[in-house]
Amino acid sequence: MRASRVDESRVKLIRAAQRGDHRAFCELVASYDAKIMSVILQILQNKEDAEDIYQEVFLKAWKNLPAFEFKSEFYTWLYRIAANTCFSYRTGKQRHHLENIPLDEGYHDVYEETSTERTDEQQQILSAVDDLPQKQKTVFVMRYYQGHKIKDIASLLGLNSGTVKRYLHRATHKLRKDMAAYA
Amino acid sequence: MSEEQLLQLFKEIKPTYKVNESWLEEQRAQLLGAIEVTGEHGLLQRLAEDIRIWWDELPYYWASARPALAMVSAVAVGVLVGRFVFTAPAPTGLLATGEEEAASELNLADLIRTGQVKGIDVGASGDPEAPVELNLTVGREMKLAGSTEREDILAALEYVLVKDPNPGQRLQSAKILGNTANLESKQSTVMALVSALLSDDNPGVRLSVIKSLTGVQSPLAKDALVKTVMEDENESVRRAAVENLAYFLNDLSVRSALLLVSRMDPIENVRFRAYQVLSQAPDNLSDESLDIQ
Repeated sequence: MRASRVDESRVKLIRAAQRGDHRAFCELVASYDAKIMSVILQILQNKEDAEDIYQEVFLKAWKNLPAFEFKSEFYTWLYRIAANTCFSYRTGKQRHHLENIPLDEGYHDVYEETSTERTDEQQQILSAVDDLPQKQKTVFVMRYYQGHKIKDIASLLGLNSGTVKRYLHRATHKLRKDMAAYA
Repeated sequence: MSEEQLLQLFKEIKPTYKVNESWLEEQRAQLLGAIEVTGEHGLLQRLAEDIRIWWDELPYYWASARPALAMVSAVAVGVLVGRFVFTAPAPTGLLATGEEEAASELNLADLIRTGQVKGIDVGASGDPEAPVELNLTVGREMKLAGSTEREDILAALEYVLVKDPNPGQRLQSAKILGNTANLESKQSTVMALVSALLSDDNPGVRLSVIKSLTGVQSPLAKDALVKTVMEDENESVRRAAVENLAYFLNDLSVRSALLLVSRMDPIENVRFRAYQVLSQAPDNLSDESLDIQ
């Protein structure tokens, strides 16, 4: 009963936002942005990119909101926009990883990592993933961090399964090579 | 390593993140300002959909017993086509030549002061290195492009920041003005930013102004920031102002304001940041009177 009331109020918000209500849209954004950003950050671990991509993803959502037809969960629809934006995103020229940013440089820390500690080898693996080309990294993270099936990734990114497999193959091949170099 | 092993490995070591709520608040405020830039969303899609439906039904109008409707449709098509195919000749008078160079030669600041500029649209390239692009309505529509080194471009941006009814445009101007070289030495620009900080009703614009004022050490900026940390209704704006006051820690009034905020702001996050900024004050400035330690 409670869940359905929540859904109902959410549908009302979406419909209001579709009619052009900015406040309703921002209220919607506030319910999803933390979750969407934590997903995005797995792909782009970068403070400057995080700000750019936040604005890009939610502006795209705003522009395309009238096309949302309630055929999927609103979160899934936002996730699709976020994944596609990451897939075609060009990372900033100067990459500032959070750990390298002194406290005074930005207004806020964008995020904190909540994962458990890792061994050096595990850290090297993650660094190697971070160094993958953007498209390969997006597909790789969707598959191995976020656990999506290949056909779902293909559907979310508008690719065919063969292309997704090719990206994954290239990514794992490059990771093996990088890891061999570390060793 | 098999697929299953890879899945298992990354399940164990993948990074997970908790996004900072204050950062999200800032982004939401900026987004609210930015969506004004895009105008009414879906208008084009709805228009396209209406045209598609109308186009699909057109043959039936012609074939049916509704000749009047068909006639009206035909006239509408004619008007629409005419609107896009034929352009009106340039009106004579102010800026009649209509070339970019002509606009460049004008003293835009004078035009603004004398109220001859009817509107200015600021282009949003997103690249701080790119020239600023302005579409001016001065008798007719004009384009002007250049860097913020040019006084007329600066004057136009200041005008947009203070006067434009569209918060998205104001936000864009504030961002560009923030990238101006030697901003501190440009009094009128600093005044425009300060004025927007104190009077703009959009928190995204105020936030953008504060970012643009970062490092500007004029007394005007300092006083505006102090007023903002004490009075602004938006916590992200207050917090950003607190951050900027770190550049004025030598000033007693700033330290007093930060002390008050660190104790009395209703939002813990703002209080804590004020405390952090205040504790960056050099030891010799730890005021006995303020009792901050």
